[in-house]
Amino acid sequence: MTHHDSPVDLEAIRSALAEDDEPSWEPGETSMTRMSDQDVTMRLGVPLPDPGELAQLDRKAAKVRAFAAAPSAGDATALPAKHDLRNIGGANYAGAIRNQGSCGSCVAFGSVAVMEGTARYSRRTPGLNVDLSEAHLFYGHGAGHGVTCQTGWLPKPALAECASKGITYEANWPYTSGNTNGGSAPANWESHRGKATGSVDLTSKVADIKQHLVNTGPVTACFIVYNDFFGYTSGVYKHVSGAQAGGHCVAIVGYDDSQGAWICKNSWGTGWGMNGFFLIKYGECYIDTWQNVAVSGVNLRTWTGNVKVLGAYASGHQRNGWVYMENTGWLLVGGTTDTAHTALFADLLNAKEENAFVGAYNDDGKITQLYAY
Amino acid sequence: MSTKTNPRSAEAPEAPPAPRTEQPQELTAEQLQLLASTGEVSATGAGEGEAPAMAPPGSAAGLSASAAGATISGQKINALWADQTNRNSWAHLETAGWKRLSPLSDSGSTNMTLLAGHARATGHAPYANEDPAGTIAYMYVW
Repeated sequence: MTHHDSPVDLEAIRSALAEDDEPSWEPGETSMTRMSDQDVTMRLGVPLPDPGELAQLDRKAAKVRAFAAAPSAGDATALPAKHDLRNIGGANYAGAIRNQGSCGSCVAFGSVAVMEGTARYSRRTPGLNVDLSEAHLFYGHGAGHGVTCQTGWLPKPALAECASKGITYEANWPYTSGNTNGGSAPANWESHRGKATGSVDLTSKVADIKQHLVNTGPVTACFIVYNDFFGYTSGVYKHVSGAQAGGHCVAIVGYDDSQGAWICKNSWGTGWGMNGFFLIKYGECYIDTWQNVAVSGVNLRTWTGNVKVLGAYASGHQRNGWVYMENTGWLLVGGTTDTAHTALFADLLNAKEENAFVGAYNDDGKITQLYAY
Repeated sequence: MSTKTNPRSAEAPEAPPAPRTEQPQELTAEQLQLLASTGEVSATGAGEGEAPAMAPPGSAAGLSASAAGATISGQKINALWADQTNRNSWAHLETAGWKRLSPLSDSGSTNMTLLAGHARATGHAPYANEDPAGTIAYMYVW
C-alpha cells in the first residue's frame, strides 16, 4: 500500500506512460512508494547543481541523447552492443544490492560499488571476497569534508579519498544508517583495506564509460530523481511524471545499446526496481553527464582466506615468482631476500601440488606471509 | 672420467650425440621409456613482460596476452637436469627436448627450476615461452 504521504502518484505515472509514444517502463508499488515524502528525500544524497551548472548539464545531456539517437552511434568503436557486469559468461561482478537506509549516503554506496566491482572485474575473479566499508568512506573520510546524512556528497571527492587513503573492510566498520552503531576505523585498518590505484573522470564521455565497463569495472553516476522514479519496477526508465525530488548517486554496471540504456545498481534494497537494479535511457536526468567517476584498479591488503593455488608463473627475472590463487587472481610472491622468496614460492608450489589450502597475506598484490595446510 | 657437466645416460645403447659444454645430452630410448605420460593440457594465452596475464584455463572471462617469443605448450616436462654451474638448470620437454631455464638471476633460475619440477611432478604441461636465445624465458603451470 502506498504511503499516505508518498510523493509518488502511480495513477499519474500510468497516465503519463499511456500517453507516451514509446512507454518503456512499468510503474508499481515499491519499498519507496511505501515511505513518506521525508523518508524518500532522505535517501537522495547528492546536492543539486546550481542554475548555471544545470544549464550546462542540460546542453551536455541533449548532446548525449542526440548522439544516442543517431544511426551511427554504435559504429565509432569496436565496443560490444551489450555488456552487463551482472552476467559476463555466467559470472556476476556487480555484487549484492545494499540498503543505505535513512541517510543521504548514496555516494558512499555508489563509490564502494565501483571499488568492489573493479576489484573483482579487473582481476576477473567474481568470487573475490571484497566487502568494503561504506561507513568508513562516508562517516570517516566524508566527515573530514563536513559530510553528513543531511548534506550528502559527490563521487569525485569520495573516490579521490579511496585513491589517496583507501577504505577498510565492512567487517571492521559495518554500515548502519546514521552510524548508530558508533563504528569507527580500528587503529590498524590500513592493514585491512582496499585502495584505488587512481580515479578517472569519465563525465559526459559515453564511449569512454562503456569502454571502462568493458575493460575495468563499474562507473559512478549522479542524476536528478523525479518522483516517478520511486515507483519504478522494471523496463528502461525515463522521466514522465512528477516533481523533482533531489539528486542521487548509483553505480553504472553495464549498458545495452539495443535498449539505449545504462544498467545501474541502486542502494535502496531489493524491494525497489528490478531486485534493486534499474535501466535508464542514455542522456536521461544527467545520468551520463554529471559525475561519472571510476577507478583504474583496486589494491587490497588482507588475508586471502583459505584458498587453493590454481596456477604458478615464473620468469628468469629476480624474485619474480607468481601464483594464481582461487578467488584472488595473480599475486606476486614476496620475500626481502632471494632465499625468503624461494621459500615462499616452494611452499606455494608444494601446496598446489598437494591441492592443499593456503592462507596468504596479500599486501597490495604481493604475498608477504603464508600458511599452507 | 672427467667432471663433465652433462647428465649421464647410463648404459646408453647407442652413442649419445656429442655433448656441448654445460648442456644436457639427448635422452636415451631407455630413459624415455621411464617417463610417464598422463594428464590433460589446456592453455589459451600467454603473458608478456614480467607479470603474468594468463587467465586460468576454462575461465569465463579471459585475461590473456599474445606471446612475444615462441610458445611451447601441450608438452609435458619429463626430465630435469642441473649441474654445479651457476644458473644452469634445464628441463626436457616431450618433443622440444632439452631447454635451458632462463639464467637472468639467481632467484629466477631457482624459481624456474622449482616450477619445472612442479610441472614434472604433477604431469601438467607448462605454457612456456622460449626467447630468441633458446632459453625458457617464462613459464605458466596450471
